[in-house]
Amino acid sequence: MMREITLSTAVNEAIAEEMRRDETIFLIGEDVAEAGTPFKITSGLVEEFGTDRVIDTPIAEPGFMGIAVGAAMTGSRPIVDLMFGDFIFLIMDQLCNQAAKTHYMSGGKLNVPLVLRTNMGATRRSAAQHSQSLHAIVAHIPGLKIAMPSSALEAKGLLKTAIRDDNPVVIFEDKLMYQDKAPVPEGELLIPFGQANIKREGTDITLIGTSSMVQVAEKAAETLAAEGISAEVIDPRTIVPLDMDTINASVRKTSRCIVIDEGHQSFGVTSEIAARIMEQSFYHLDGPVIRMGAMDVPIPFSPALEDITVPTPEGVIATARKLMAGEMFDV
Amino acid sequence: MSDIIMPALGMAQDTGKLVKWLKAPGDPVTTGDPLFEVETDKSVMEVEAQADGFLTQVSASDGDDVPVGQVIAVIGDTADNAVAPAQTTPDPVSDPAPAPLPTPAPEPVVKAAPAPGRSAAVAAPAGGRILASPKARRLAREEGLVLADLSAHGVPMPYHVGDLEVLRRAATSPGQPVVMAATRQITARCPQHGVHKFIDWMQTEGDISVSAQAIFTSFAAAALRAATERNEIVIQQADGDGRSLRLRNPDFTRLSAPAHETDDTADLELHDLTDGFLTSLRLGDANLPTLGIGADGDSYLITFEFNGAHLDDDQAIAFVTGFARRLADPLYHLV
Amino acid sequence: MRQANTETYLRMYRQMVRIRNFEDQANQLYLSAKMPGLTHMYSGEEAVAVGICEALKVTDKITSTHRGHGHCVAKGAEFKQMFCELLGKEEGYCRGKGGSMHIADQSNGNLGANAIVGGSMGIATGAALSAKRLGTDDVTVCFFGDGATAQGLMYEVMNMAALWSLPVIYACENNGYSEYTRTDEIAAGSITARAEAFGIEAFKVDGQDVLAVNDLAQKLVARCRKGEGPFFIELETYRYHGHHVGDINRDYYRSKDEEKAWHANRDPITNFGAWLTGEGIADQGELDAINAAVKADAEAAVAYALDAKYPDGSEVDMHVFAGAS
Repeated sequence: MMREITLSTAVNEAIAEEMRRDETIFLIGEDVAEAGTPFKITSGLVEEFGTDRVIDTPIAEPGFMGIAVGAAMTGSRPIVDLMFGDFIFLIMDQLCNQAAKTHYMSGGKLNVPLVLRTNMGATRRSAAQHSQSLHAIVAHIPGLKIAMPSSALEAKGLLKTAIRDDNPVVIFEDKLMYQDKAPVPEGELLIPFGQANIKREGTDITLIGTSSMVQVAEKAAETLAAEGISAEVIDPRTIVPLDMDTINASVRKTSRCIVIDEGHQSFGVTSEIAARIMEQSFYHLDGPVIRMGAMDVPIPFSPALEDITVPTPEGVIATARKLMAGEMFDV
Repeated sequence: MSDIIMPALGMAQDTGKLVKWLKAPGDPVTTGDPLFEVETDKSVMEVEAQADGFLTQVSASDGDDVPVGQVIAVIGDTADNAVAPAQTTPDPVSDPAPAPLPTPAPEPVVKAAPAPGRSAAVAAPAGGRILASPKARRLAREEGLVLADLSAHGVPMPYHVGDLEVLRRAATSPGQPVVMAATRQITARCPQHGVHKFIDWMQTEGDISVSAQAIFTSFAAAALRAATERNEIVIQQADGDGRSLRLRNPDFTRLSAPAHETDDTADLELHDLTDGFLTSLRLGDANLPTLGIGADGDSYLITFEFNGAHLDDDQAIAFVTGFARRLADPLYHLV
Repeated sequence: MRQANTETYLRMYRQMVRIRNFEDQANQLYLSAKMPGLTHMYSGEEAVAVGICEALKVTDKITSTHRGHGHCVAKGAEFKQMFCELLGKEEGYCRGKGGSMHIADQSNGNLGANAIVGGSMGIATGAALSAKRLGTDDVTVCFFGDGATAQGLMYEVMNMAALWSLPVIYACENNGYSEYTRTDEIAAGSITARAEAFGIEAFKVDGQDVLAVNDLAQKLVARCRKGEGPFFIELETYRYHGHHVGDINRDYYRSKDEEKAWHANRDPITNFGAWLTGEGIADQGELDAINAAVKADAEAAVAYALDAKYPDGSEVDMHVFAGAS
């Protein structure tokens, strides 16, 4: 029986294992040392590695992001902890103008091997500025790799790969999943980028989900199976690079697809994946590729409102039924 | 000696307008002296001398548009050659030539023409386009199924892959009762003598022997082309023995030459009944639009059977009218 | 004052002349429409870059600004690769992919010019963090202008540099103007006081006096290597040209008389030359020879770069990511 650990523990293990392996790695961010971050993810690391390698910063996101970029350019491998994904707006210049572009602008001579760990996910009643899922915004910038773990297993395996990658990688953990357990093997665990995972095989419809939307898709698939609809569930794991081979093979098998993501509905990851499927598997589609994202509204505080804004298994089931029936989705 | 050039001063600038010289040719010049005024896309600026000497070899005049980077004078050690020899005018400048636009790739011409194996009924049924999923279209094309037939089977749009079963069953078991779209009929009559006269004329004037059937085929294609605006027309000639020959664009080949045979699906089946006892065929079985030409006294009796999936009424009327007109006066239409 | 040997002095002189010649050539390339884009001239500020970089070793790091050619030359870059980079040619330091505003020379410790004002301050501070953590005794110098003191990032990183005693020297090249506006209209209070507020020792120096700059830099670099950093220097200097090469008519924000005065009285190269001949370290003939040789060097490098090939189109999507990806 494989052990089960929380996503939080998985992240902690990944960082500790890598820091033991490579002395140039250090962790930097707000409250990462004694406090272990407000989510208690990095607890214990400062005791093992010292304040030289687990560095608490003032509340100065652009500052410590810039420092991480400079450190990465000069022989270190920083892991930056950005407390809430919403704060990515504060560090955009250092992340997108400096880190993402340095390798290219220097003609390949300067590397920026850093990992930015941050989070995403709503329904925590944290309101509009602490609940956003902003991965689409940075996925748009050439030079950044983007990973989206959907469970403790991916959280560990993708983070370790990210730390060993010589490029700037942004990892988005779902903040509501930190205490969720999943089977994670002992020993070395490296999940390669650009390799999607087929979580459930099916023949009638493909459900592509990112992060916690994988679980939403799986729940929907269970219910659909009872109605005789066989859904295949795919977790891309990284959106840059994106494994279109697995996605195309699935869509060509089923000829129907729904893409589910917690970013906003418009101009997001679902649109990109749907567009690629449309271009590359057009003649295999027996219906439109449907996008399901969070509503295009700032995330409301009230629970009565917040829960309506995100995709749910019920929503996926209803959409899947419509697709199977050949109904039209025009406005 | 140091060159004076028309400087690049703005981002979007290929030329500068030399508003006026502030020194005359031959004047002494010190570093920092304003030499001339330039008008850019934003404002008028003064350009200063970068060296000491005399203003010589002046080759641009007040009001000239000068390409950026071009030498317009030289600060020389002496005042000789104050004006450039032969009063060379700057390169004539029309609007700065825009960078040549990349030639757009020729648009792929989307033809409604049936490709080999493709169903002719990708052409629209009455009034509208066929809405079908990309996969349904592709499979229909590959299997030779006619999506347009689905409306006759009572299947609503948009069509999906599952709907193709209806067509497959219909194809493999024709005995099964199938709801057919109502067959429509148009008849017409026109004198025969035009055709006879034409055939005689071809024989005597050109020593070419032309059959009535060939004329019917060519005119049917031309009239159908005009009525439907299709690019490719295939006419199936049925002979009494049950064989048929399919000809592509017979209106494009000379009557004296053999038309192109093809395996493509036909747009129309033509029965030349003039040689026998039958005057018309009204079999109500229109898989294809069917045109029959029978003889009735001095006239041709033209019978055209079709259904709504083949052509709409306006097109059918235009087709039969056009066909009859041509038959009535072949010389006019062929020459 | 006469601490170094003749060779060191002549090298300083030569480096300043190299910068001046590079800028003159670059300016001409722009005006004659041979150089794509814009660039920003360092002419007049040579003593700042040279005075400081002569106190650094190859592995020490610098970060630069949009006005970065001077730092690049001073830290050891070659003319050919620099001109090639400005013209977008394959042999440029960045294979033509960075241009004037992003020119970097990694082998000489130049982490790059930066087109974002203040954008490299984080990078410089991070380089210092690396040096401290990895136990090298490398020092990082962060060059920036008076205009960058308006950027929040500066305060964030100075705060952390002071908290963690990082080996970084923040060198503020105060040339009196932030683009087209006088410094006293964009920077309230005192610039050095900003650093002192974080407990960082701050110094002011005449940026046109290469020996004064170098003397101060040597002291601070030595102290940094002993872990006494960070430090802050405000260097009073002047840029002869406009904000960028197209900024030709400037009298609406800067008077011609002021420009003339700096040229006449405060030129770093002229004044250092005068000092060298005055002290008998070199005679005018030697200085003229250096001037001529550098001029010829620059002209040859420009000719080379104009002729050099552009990168092949297939390179356009190379170097987005490091490694096989």
